[in-house]
Amino acid sequence: MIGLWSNSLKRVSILLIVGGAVLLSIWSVRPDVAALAPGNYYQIHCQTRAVAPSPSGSAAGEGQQLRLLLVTPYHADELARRLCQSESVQQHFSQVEVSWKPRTELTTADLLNERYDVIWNREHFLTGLSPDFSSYYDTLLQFDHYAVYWLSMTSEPVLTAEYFSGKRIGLLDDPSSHTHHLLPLRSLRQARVDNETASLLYFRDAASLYEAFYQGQIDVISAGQSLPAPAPVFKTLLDANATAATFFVRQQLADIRLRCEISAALMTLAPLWEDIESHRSDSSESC
Amino acid sequence: MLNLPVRYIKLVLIALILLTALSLLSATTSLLSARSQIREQLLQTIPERLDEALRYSVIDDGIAATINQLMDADLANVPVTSRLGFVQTCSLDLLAIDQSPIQPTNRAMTIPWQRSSSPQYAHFDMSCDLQPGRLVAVNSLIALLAALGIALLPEPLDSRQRLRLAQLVVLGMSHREARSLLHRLMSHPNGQQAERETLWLDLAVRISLQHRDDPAEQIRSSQLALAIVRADDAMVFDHASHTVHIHGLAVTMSKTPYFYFAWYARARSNSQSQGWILNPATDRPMQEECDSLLAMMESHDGHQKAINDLRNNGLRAKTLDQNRNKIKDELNTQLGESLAAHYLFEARRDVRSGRYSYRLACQPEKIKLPNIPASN
Repeated sequence: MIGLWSNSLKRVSILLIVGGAVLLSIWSVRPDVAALAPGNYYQIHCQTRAVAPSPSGSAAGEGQQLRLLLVTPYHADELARRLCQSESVQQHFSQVEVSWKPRTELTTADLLNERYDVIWNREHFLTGLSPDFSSYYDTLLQFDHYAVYWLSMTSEPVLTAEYFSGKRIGLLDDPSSHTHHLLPLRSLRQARVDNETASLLYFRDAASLYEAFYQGQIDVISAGQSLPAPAPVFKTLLDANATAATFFVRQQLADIRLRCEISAALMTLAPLWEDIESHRSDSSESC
Repeated sequence: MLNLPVRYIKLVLIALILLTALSLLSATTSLLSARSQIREQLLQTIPERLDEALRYSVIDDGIAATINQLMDADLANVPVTSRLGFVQTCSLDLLAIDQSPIQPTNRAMTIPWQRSSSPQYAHFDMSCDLQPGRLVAVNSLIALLAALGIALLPEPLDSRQRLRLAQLVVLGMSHREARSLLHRLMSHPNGQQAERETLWLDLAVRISLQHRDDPAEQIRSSQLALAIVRADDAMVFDHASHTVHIHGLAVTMSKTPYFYFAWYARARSNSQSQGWILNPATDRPMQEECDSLLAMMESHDGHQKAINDLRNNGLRAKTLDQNRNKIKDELNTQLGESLAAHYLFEARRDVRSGRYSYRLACQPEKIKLPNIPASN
């Protein structure tokens, strides 16, 4: 074999050695990224101002959290900030959590364990999860029935099969949504519009539903009074008595002043119920 | 000896070049690998997390900044393990979520996701904490080992040397032996000696090619050729058979020229006047100086006529010249002129007398004479 040792063989050997060195070098520094476990991005926290323990001992509970569950992230950060600055909240809690966890992910266990101090949802939905829900949650803030409309950018909607024929109708792909799913579907059934007459297009979230509507990708949608419309829109009443979601509070959170401050802070979200009358519950009427 | 430092400098240079190349390469691949692993994981988790967070958002202003903060805090510290701890943590920074797939910067990593039916893109900026010291340390070691490996590779033979190697193998030598023999030849510090060894190799090959028609003879020739190649460069005198073994080749001569040859060899070997023997004048034969020659002839069955002539007449210039010529003829016949010249006589002229001195050209340490019992 030695007799075959030539310049080209030597070159091949050098290449092999260098190649081996490269592989070894790459192998020796090869990183291994730990499994990433991203948290949830549907909740925010803030710390209440640290309060020195008062002589009477009514200090903020160590590690106690005030938890709120909303249906939308709208102004969630501002709500959290207001609660963290509230004196009553500071007395009882060290941290505030505001969550907008998708309502489809709310479980019976969440209710039974009273995971949330304040829940914003429709009463029938919560009773569906836990029938005796009202025995451990009180109503904090409730709303009058509100009106839902059919909207179109091109012509005034009429509740007939002829009108909807050939129209593209935008809905939310969420059976728990009254405004964008249950009520419009019921209205279409009453008008005897079936899947063949009109095409139903489902959207995953309200923002994309509205955007598609504004861009003319769909012809008709259903919406409440307060939909921010950039252009003139034709409206026809769909349902004048839609049930709005209610704010519930844990019965254990009995401190009237605390309830009052929470109610006041919730007014941060008031633009969401612009034209609907809100009522504080009996217990917090004395605020 | 002189080429040793050059070799070391070459080694260090190779190691340095390798170190630089390996460091750059492994740093780049390491970062790229960390990046692609992180991207792979983000692709699996982030679209779902963003969907959960933004699904019920009606108006996005404000919430985007909130999600940005949440995500930055969450991904600020991605632990990375590597065998030698070159990368320890990486950090991700959410730059923007928008509908453009274009990366704002080079370091950016884009995770596509679907919001309802419209494609959206989350742009991240990734940076990693590096430990360059470890990288350099590891690569230094690898580069040094590789450079050593390269430096230790044997020099390849050129075509002439490969031919020689093939010839040696044909003579019956193992590759290893042939190779080391060639190596010894190539690295011989004395160029003249290397040339002489090459001549011997040529002679051995010629000898091995003799008697191709007689298998028995041919085996003998091959054995002789092999013996010649393996033998040390020496002149071994054997008085009993009046034979000189030059580099393993037996050169048998007539008695008288042989003893003259041995006499010159002894003078060279004893280093008396550096081996030079001055030719006697034509009319004045040498008397005492040739006692040792006489003694050698007498004790080793020399030719009686030559002994008598020497005893009675002394050593005459003519006799000396004749015997040198016989030796020269014999060696030229057997070794060829160019090779024989190395083992024959060199001459110098004495300025005063105008006569010539002769001595063996061979180095004294290469001459091996039998131990002669002290003559009286």
